[in-house]
Amino acid sequence: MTPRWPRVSAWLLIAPVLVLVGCGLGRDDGDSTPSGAASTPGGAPTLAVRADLVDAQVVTWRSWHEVEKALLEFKVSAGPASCYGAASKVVESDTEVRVQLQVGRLPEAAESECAAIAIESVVPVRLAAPLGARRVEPLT
Amino acid sequence: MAAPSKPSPEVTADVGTVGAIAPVKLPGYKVARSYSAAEVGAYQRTGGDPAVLGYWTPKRMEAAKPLDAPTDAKAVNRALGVLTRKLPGLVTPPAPSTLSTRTGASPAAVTTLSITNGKLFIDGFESGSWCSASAINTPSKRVVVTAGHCVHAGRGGTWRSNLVFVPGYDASSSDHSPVGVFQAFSLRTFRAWGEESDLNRDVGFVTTYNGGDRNSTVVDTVGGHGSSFNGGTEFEVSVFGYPSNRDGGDTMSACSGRATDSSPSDNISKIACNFGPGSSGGPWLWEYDNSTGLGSVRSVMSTIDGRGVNRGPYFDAAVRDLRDLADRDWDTRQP
Repeated sequence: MTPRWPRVSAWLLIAPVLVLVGCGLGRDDGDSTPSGAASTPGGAPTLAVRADLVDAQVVTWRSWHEVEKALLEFKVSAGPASCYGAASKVVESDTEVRVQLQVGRLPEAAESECAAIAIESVVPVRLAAPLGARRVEPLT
Repeated sequence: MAAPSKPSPEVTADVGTVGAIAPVKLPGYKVARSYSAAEVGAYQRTGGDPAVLGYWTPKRMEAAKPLDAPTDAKAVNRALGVLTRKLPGLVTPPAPSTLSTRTGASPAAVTTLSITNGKLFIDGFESGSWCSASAINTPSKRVVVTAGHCVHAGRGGTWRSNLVFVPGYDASSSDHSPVGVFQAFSLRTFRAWGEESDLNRDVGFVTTYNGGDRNSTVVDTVGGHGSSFNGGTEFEVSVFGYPSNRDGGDTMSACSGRATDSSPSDNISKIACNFGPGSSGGPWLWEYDNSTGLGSVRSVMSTIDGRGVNRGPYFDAAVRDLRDLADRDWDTRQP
């Protein structure tokens, strides 16, 4: 079999979000989603996926599940979704999908005061091809 | 000559508070579970509800089915026997006690981290949502202080559920909970936080069941900090917590310096610790003693801004009154 080079998609979805600068001080979780932050049926808020995050740091994802054939959702701990967003880097091969996630401040909330709580949040990651039987592993 | 500190506001009246029995939500249920008096008694004897103390992995969550409430202490004991993994040799003596002497791991002024501080998990032990907190010395020996937004989501929100306090939490060691865990019994915050998300009132108290490896009160297990009220917004402070931007929030972090007044228009202190998500509720200790691991809580972590400046609410007499209400909750809020 001819070896195939890993496909680096570095997929970054620019989600249309409306974030209220200066919020993140109250409604921040599944019971109470801030404006502009979607929430999954399970209650965890969904972080906006952006390429322009401020002071983004690599974070460890806790778990994942398949939403669609080529769409995964990962669980991470992050600040309120009104202040924080996520970015992903994906390396796909025939046998595995390796994913690295970063969490950072949304530019429009860079100067805002944000509640310093850690909230289990969801990050959607689009794949270049359906996951199929491939393993999902951290990308380090 | 330095400018004098802002006069210390004394607020003793007309400051509303709100409180509730700590909500417990089990997988598969949409509404909070309520305990009977018998269940509260059983959990008090056995160290809490195993449904809250247990670690709910996603697989366990998916596989879980609604359970009937245990009807006696034996049922709780059987469940706890499966879920706990403590060894008697790891039990830490009663207060005052210290967790470690990791000199150099913290800013110069703090050479010993205190086991009186810990991680406050939301949605159960080792979930992905957490704050920081610390035990304080009160007559009931059951009270933990944290931020208001750690017990209630604020305006338009609800009470947090499945809270557990883990003194000295350390995910870098083989035993993440060196003295065990303490389940929340009741929660308290100011009405101004719960209804208006007023950061001047971002203070919360958690009254806990007996728990931990000793099955005792939290203060009898790890000691309790003092509390300081009406002392002004500027003071030398040692700040503790579990910020996710330091070591992923797996271990306790500390920061020392001088807290200063945030603004003439509020009752809030600030210090540039750059403590990120997860540090909320961590104690701002005045006169922290490295030898005892104890100090006096004069504020708690509330927010972080884009420049790494943290802020915490001023502790006035209204905070003392809220603490005292929380302290009486064990006796007054039994089902």
